[in-house]
Amino acid sequence: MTDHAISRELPRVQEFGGSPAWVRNALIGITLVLVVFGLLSVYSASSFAAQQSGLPGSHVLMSQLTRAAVGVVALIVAAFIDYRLYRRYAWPILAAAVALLVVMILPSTTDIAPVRNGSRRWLMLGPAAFQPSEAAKVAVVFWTAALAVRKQRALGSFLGGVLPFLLLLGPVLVLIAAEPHLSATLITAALAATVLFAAGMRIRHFLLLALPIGAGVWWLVRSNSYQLTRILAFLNPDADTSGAGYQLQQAQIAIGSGGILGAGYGESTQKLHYLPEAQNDFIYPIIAEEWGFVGAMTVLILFLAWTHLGLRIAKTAPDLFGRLMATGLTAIVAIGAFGHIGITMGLLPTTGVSLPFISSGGTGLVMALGVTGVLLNVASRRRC
Amino acid sequence: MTRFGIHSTTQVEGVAGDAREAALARTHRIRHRALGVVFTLVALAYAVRLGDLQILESEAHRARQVAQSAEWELLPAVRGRILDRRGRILAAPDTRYQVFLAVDELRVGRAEAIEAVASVVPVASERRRAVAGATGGWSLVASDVSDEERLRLQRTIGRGIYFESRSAREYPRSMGRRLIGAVGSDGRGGTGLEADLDGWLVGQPGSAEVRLDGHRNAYRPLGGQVVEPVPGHDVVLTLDAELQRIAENELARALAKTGASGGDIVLLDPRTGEILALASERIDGAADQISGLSDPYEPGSTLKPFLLASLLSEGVVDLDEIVDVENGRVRIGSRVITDVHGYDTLSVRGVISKSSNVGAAKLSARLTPAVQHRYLRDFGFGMRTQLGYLAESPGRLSRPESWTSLSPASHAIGYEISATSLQLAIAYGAIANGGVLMRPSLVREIRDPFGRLVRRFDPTPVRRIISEEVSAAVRSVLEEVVRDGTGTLAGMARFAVAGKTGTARLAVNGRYAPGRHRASFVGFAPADDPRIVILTRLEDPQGGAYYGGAIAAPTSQATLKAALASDGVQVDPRLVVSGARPRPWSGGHAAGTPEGAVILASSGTGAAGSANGTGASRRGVVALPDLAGLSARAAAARLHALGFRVEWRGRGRVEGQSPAPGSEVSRGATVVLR
Repeated sequence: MTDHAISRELPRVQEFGGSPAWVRNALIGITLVLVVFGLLSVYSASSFAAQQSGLPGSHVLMSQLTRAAVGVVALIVAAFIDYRLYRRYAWPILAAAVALLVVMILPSTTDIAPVRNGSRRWLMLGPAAFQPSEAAKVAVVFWTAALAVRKQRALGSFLGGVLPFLLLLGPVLVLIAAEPHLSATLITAALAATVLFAAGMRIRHFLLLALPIGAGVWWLVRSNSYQLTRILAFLNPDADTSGAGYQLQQAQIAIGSGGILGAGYGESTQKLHYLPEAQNDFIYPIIAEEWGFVGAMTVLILFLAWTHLGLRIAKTAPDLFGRLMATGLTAIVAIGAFGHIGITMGLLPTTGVSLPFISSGGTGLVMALGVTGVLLNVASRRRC
Repeated sequence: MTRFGIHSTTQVEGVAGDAREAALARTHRIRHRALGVVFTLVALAYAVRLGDLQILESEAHRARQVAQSAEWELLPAVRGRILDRRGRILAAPDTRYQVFLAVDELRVGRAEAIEAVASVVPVASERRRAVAGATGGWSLVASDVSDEERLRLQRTIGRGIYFESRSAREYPRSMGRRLIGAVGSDGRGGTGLEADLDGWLVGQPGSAEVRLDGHRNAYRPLGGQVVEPVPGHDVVLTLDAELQRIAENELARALAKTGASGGDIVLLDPRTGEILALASERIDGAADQISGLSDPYEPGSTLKPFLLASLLSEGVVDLDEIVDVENGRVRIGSRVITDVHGYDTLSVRGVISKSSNVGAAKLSARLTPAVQHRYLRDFGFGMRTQLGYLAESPGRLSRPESWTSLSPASHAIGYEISATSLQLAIAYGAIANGGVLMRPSLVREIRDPFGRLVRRFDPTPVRRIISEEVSAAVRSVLEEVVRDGTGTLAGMARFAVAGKTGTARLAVNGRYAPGRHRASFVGFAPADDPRIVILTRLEDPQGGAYYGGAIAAPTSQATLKAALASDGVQVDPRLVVSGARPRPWSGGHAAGTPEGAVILASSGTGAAGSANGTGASRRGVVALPDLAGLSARAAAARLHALGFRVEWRGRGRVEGQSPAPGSEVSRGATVVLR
């Protein structure tokens, strides 16, 4: 059960050979480009609203710079932590994440987990605010990957392989949904599904699960009328010109009006209170408006490249856990990015998903950079 | 017993295990590749969607964006100025601000903020309370704040203070306000000339591209298109600010002194028809009504010169012909016409200069009604003067077909006909200028904001009515009126004045009311080369004196004196009459004392009357400035500004003055300059 044993036992699997240096360099390079571009975009998208509230235009940029610095530290630290520790501590990590999630729904903790806009997503720890659901995503990836390695032979059967995952993931998802935070719930479920898919869970079991999960989502949507509005708005954005449909319309006006070359940096009109949370849930339309098709495509391609680099690192990971974990971590960024872009282009239901590396917000940025660090660690380990 | 179950197979299970290993590894490979393919396909779909939105539909989205966020903000044009004939500013643009406090945005406490505002501009107590009790939003704290005060407030308060600009109007001179009028709250002319000249003054508003944000607030983007507003034109009036002030002051004095309920003083240039001053007061009148233009009245005896002009033009009378005036009493039809003084006979000159109603009535019989009517019509009665501005009445002149047997006599002595003061004054202008009726004018020039002439309104003759000879003859008779007729109190030492007095009975509810009169004097000076026409009308004077010769003539004299001493009227110095003519002054008018006496017209004409009149505060006691060495015009201007009357008896520059410099003198008194 030692690391040494693992490496010795896997001589035939040539794929588990670590990644060449260019993969790591490219990952670092793309990540840095996205982060720097994100800082620029956050400044452009937020300065107007900040000045409107009587703050300096660089107010959001300054806090985002601090978060980016913390994120880079997290990346470096994660790059030096042996990823196999996450397998060993997968259970405690999940337990800690669950504990945080429980804090978010306890009635007695509204001091540190206040209600904002009807939900409790933020844990206030002194000057820093932190979203436990973001941490839960990583914890779920670690745990699912770890358990999938142990149960990989049983994954073919539903009762012995799939059910144990459901028994634990189900309550975790319910906790996130209880904040309520529907998008995080769905993304977490998707992450677990991605890991299990990569681990070889049968397609028919996915289809079997799709029915009750779909019903569950429908019930959740029904119980939160604003979610229902959003879903309906996504299906027919012109029907609702004031709420969610209005946001979606404004996002499409932003993207569309960018044209091929864009309005120019800082020249977005849609950030003038047309798009709510322009520096966060709607930053991609602002980028598309200011940088045009060229810029929007570049960002899209950068995320696709990042995803493929992540998957390549997963493919050449020294062991199965590394492979499944790296796949899941890659999916954190990829699902976040493609989710955000798809939502703002009107291809997915309108819900608040931030764009990894780019959107303002500390937890997301630190987590994304930390995830990158873990991937680098995986990439650097050749069958030691 | 490693946790990596798949690798802890025994040797026995090895072969089967290897097969399963291989199958599993293949599954992993396929699944891994599938994930990569899925993400690539999603990215491809997004790229297609991006191309759709940003390339194919781009124009439509941009149009929607422009429709919701681009707008043009109106940039108001700066309103032009109103200037007097000498370029003195009568009305000028001025930006004023309203000050609001947004109580939620203040950095300091509310009370502190109000105190800070109050240290710059006054804040009414109810507004203090409103701010103290405000629950949000903007609270008005002060209005009518100047630009400089706005900057100071902005510096002291900083956040939470808002200003709303309002283009206001500044009227630096107190005179002529009724004539000039005012600007409405929309920045357009509301009353008076501001309204009637609005087309010239208003300018062309500009526009600026603005962006609206999602909350419908407007912002000017950098590099946005701006169409600059075109400022309005300046309007140069024919009015002379100083003459206007003199006229208003004299009218106010006369009203205070006589207790009249209203009146007009009109000054105009007979050669051009330009109105130099137009002062109108009516105690019960609407604030924006100018009675000199809008109130027609029966002119009474001031209409007699037109009868004389018609008779002379028709050649049916000789000036020295003797008329039997029947001891001042004659019956025409059912009506008896009387004179104030009964004479046996009078020359035609005397009929005018002594203002004999009997004589005029009898002379009118020498004209057919049609001819009499034609002359009156030609002098402009019964028609608007076509001044073109302000509300003007046409007066009334009935067709000769509807005249009764009494009508010729009535028209001869100024009844059955009504005219405005302006109509009368411009008709006298025709006698003064040699027989041509001029169209009166109030606007001289239009200039663009750079001072370039845009349009000049040249003097417009309407028609010749009488010959030069006839007008000279009428002038000589009118000069006689002032020299030794009913108008002596209008006479001046230095210039010959010509004119005619009038004392008409006032009709109240269609009947002539006993003891109620209208006193008037219309004339011009200098008599030989008239430069200025003056009309004074005093409506319903109270107290003993009500004759035009007793109250309207001296007011005219005072006005003329001040006017001729000011720089408003250019008079040929050769017309100065050498040596004082003997003038029969009636008592109580110290101004008549000969040869440079100290004149403090305290008894009748000035200060005494004003004290119980239009406000003592404005008319206090003032120390006289030292005027020695100043030009006559400059000295007169200073004294006028202080509210004094001026009598000029010197030559060139001021060498002496009485009372002496530093004397405490009541306003309204006359100061003699040598």
